[in-house]
Amino acid sequence: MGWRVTLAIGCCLLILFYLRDHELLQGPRQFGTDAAAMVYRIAGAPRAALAGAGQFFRSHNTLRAENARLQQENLVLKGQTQKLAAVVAENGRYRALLNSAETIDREVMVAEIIALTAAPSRHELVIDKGSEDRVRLGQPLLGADGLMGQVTRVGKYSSNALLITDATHAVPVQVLRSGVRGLAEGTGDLSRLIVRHVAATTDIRVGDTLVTSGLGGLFPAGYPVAQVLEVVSDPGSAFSQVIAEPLAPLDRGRHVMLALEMIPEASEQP
Amino acid sequence: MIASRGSWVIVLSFACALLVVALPVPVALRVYLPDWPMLVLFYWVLALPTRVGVLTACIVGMATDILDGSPVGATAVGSTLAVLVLLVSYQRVRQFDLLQQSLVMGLMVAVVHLAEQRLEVLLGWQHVGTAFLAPVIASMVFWLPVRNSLRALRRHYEVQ
Repeated sequence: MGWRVTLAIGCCLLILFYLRDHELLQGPRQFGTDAAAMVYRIAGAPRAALAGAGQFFRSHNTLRAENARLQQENLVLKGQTQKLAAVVAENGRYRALLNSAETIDREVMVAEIIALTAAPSRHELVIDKGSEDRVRLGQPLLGADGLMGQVTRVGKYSSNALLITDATHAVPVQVLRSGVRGLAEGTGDLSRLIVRHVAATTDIRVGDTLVTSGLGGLFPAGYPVAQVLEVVSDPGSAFSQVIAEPLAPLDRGRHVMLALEMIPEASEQP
Repeated sequence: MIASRGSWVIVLSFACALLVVALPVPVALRVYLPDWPMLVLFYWVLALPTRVGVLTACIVGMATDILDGSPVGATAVGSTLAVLVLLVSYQRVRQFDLLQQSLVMGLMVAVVHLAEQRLEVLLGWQHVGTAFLAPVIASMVFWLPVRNSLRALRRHYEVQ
């Protein structure tokens, strides 16, 4: 039995500490990600089928009402897009005046959430797009209302993404109103982010929106992240803590967007 | 040496355990769920220690690592250690009454998760509080049904 134990633990430690990011295991790692996604898909199949049946048996009236609502919404959104095009053009001119790099127009790709991974202490999603669909490591994951996370493992046909609320995640943010910068860390609670080490005199108020600052080059600048819920300042300490709630619904919804063709923005200093 | 029979039952029970782990469960309910693959593993080690041992433990550990997104090998080290302890003491644990067995199972699941957590912290992951030990209590509660149903399966298909 001795040699078996040595072999098993030796293999594990080798994989853990030496081969973890080694390219030798690139293939098996991809396969593992895809296999895990397959297991999640099979386990989630009954619920997906139920939801599908629910969709199938919806009444004609409900569908018509929904269709009308969506058409209206589409009209409004189209109008807003036209305005946006004008604003983008205007913005480009201002940027040219300020000698600053042009923001690259970003395509997005829609991916479906297969599951939330099983570990209770971790916030990780499995999505149904992989390296075949040009997903790559570190790619930002966007929800309808804001930033959701980033891709941490890529398989061929599926990948895993860490949510911004995971205890190991942090994202550079900026207060939209005042431009104050900080680092929003995950807390392990799906509805809480925390910005530590904010100087007590900083201009942050309850209700402020935090957006990505673009520092670090991983996340594009300007995506909404969270809304400030509480500013905890202890009169005795030099720093206060800011508690914020993520804007994207992290535990609901079935689709996410992946930002494609990310190029880190140049500094915006005039 | 008795010819081994019914390997497929063992493999199937592990596959089912992993599938159950992957079931879509609301986040709030997750702390009340036991560590299914480990319970199944410990049952087979107690029942057939000559067939299911540390190598199986290592493979099952790695499978759960891949499934729940932990660094591959972390749980595997824990499950190997826990199974090692069970292999040394299975004759005694078999004689225990249900309560004592549940306590042992809780302890073993705790060993697995402690080893996993220590290795992950060593690799720079963060754990908040003692949430990683949540499956211990649930595993103690669920040991009875897991043991009874696997025993029924084993007897029905005469797995040896």
